[in-house]
Amino acid sequence: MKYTGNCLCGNVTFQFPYDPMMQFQCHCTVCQKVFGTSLNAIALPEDELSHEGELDVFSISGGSGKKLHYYFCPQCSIIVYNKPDVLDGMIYLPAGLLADQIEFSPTVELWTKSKAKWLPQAGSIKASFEDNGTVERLVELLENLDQRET
Amino acid sequence: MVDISEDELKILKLQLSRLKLETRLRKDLGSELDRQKTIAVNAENLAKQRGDEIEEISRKLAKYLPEQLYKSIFSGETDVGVKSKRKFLTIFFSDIVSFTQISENMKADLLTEMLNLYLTEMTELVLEHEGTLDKYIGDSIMVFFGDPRTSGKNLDALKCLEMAISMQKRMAVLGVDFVKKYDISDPLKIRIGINSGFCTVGNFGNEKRLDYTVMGRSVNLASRLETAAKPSSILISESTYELVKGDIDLDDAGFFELKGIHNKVKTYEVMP
Ligand SMILES: [Zn+2]
Ligand SMILES: [Zn+2]
Repeated sequence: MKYTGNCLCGNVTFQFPYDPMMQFQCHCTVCQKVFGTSLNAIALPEDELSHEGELDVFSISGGSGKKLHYYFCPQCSIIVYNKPDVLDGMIYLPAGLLADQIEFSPTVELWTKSKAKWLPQAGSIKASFEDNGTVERLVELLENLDQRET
Repeated sequence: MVDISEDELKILKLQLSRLKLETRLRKDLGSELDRQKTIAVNAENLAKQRGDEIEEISRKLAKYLPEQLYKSIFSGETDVGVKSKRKFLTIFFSDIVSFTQISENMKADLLTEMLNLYLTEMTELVLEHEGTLDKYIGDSIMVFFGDPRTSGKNLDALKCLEMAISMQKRMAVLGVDFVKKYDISDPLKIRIGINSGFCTVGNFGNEKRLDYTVMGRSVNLASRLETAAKPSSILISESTYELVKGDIDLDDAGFFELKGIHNKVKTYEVMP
């Protein structure tokens, strides 16, 4: 397995075999609440992640009107991944969970209209969206899927 | 019984899961396009209420838009249920140089008339060269070749370039006419950008009106090339160049660093 990680208490371990399909930041107000500032995450196909240990789920309604599900360890409360219904098939995993395995370099940032004023832009950003940029992200994911080594 | 190695089995499984994911992402894209369509329709209604004149012409001219698509739908070539697909296209963008300044110095009714005349003339050339008119955005025009019908990559690209050249030739005359007719200081000029590559073609229309739109990096590059093109010129990418190089005279225009596109892009120029 190429990448592995675990929650804080170690009850949940996970792994996935391929490079992530996208690295991105979300500056929306919900992510600010949940993750302190922005969400720094990688996106990967749901089917590629496997995990051991029980996860609990908490769901909210996102800006698109569709649901967003947080999967977290019931013991230490660490969020292992999010699953957005608007991008069915994909999950987001906080980059910090892979700290020493990946040099995080986000290419896309979302919801810049609510981005914290003190936060500078990461040098690797290629596209910024005031909103969720869902269509552009889906197109990007579909193009990445074509270039993906299997 | 067919013998299959573990490696082969692994590859097949991978291909299957890739296809499954692609299907899910295309479904996502379809429902997102539908959602945005609703928002766009609401915005259009709002614009209508405000009686924005430029919006009004775009809408009038919109009846030209689906002509190509209309034909193919009714001969059953396109499945309206399919929300998006990948296609190799040649994409064209054009706009009027300094249009904002020109429009600020003109009366609204004259501006409307000039824009109407300009878009009508250009649209005729699009139809003549069998391009698919994607949309008007104010004074800019987006056209693609290769969907719903294709004559092959090379011929699609060639048709696009021939259309672009005929547009520039037409503008050489029309642009000067406009100086007298509408009392503008300089001849009206347009610039054009063209790129070829795989795109995502989304269809989020209904039975009354078909809305096609193409998206992806190839489209963004075409739009950036247009912005970088000199007045009265046509700037094309290397991938379009490769498709037409035997048939059209092109000048090397060097490498361009284009905003939002990571690598430098090799470009060629046509000055009709
Ligand atoms: Zn835990
Ligand atoms: Zn967020």
